[in-house]
Amino acid sequence: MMAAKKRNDPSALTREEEKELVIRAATDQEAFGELYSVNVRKIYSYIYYRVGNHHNAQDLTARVFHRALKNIHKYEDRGIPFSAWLYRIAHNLVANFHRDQNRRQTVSYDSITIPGYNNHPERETIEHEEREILLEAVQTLPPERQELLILKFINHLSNAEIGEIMGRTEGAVKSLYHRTLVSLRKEMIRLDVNLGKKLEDK
Amino acid sequence: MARSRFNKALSTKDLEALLSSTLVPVEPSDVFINKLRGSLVKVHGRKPFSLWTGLAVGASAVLIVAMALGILLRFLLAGLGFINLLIQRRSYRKPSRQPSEGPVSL
Repeated sequence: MMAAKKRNDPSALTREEEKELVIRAATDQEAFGELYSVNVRKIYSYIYYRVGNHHNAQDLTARVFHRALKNIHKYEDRGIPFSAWLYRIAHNLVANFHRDQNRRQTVSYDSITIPGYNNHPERETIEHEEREILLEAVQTLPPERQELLILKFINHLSNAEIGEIMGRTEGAVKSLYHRTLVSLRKEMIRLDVNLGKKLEDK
Repeated sequence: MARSRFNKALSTKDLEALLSSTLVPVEPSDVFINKLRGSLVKVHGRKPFSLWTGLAVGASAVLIVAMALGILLRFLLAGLGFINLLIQRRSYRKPSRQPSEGPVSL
């Protein structure tokens, strides 16, 4: 499903096209501009979910691409997509951001609009509630597990690509993913039970 | 175990489906995208001055300054010459000036 999503993306480049652009980008700013256009939305989305607001997301996204442009001549093709390198830069900048802010990496996704269906209001309400519980459960996860979910479900990266960004092997990512789902399910049950208790008390 | 709709209903597949439908991409504004692109290309791609242009401007500036100094120097010299002229005229006009003694006849 994720691979299909990638192929259907009109802005996606083939591996060969990307390689050629990266080589040209070292000396041709227009080529870098094309790489930027293809990757900016993915990087922005990733950063937004890591920091929780548009203001910081914009600032960090800009820093990612300025840093990438400055160091593009040092980039070495290691058989993984160019975007993985950008994600790595973003990962480091976000980690520095949280360290400088000196706070735990819990963020509030208040401005996210949870998609719903218009045909069945009752069903929509239930599914909206489930998604809210899910989001709340995600926010309780440790930062690296949140990052894993973001890279997998928002950015649709493979375990190998995620491993490259997070500095782990593909197997370690797979194992972390399964542990994350277990934690997430437990947390959702806990939140749902608490919600049920609150409603009963009323 | 406490009652929750997720106890039995939430398989891995269901949870992944819920994650897919909940964690959706957040779009940046077009203004931001265009502005950032402009800053990337502007700063590193379209420099207002190249090295050679800078050198030419610098050399021209030096020449202009030298010319200006030259002109200034000429005015200064002219001024000094004029002052000297005035001083000399004054000294010729002084009444106490003794005529120069001619050669002594024996």
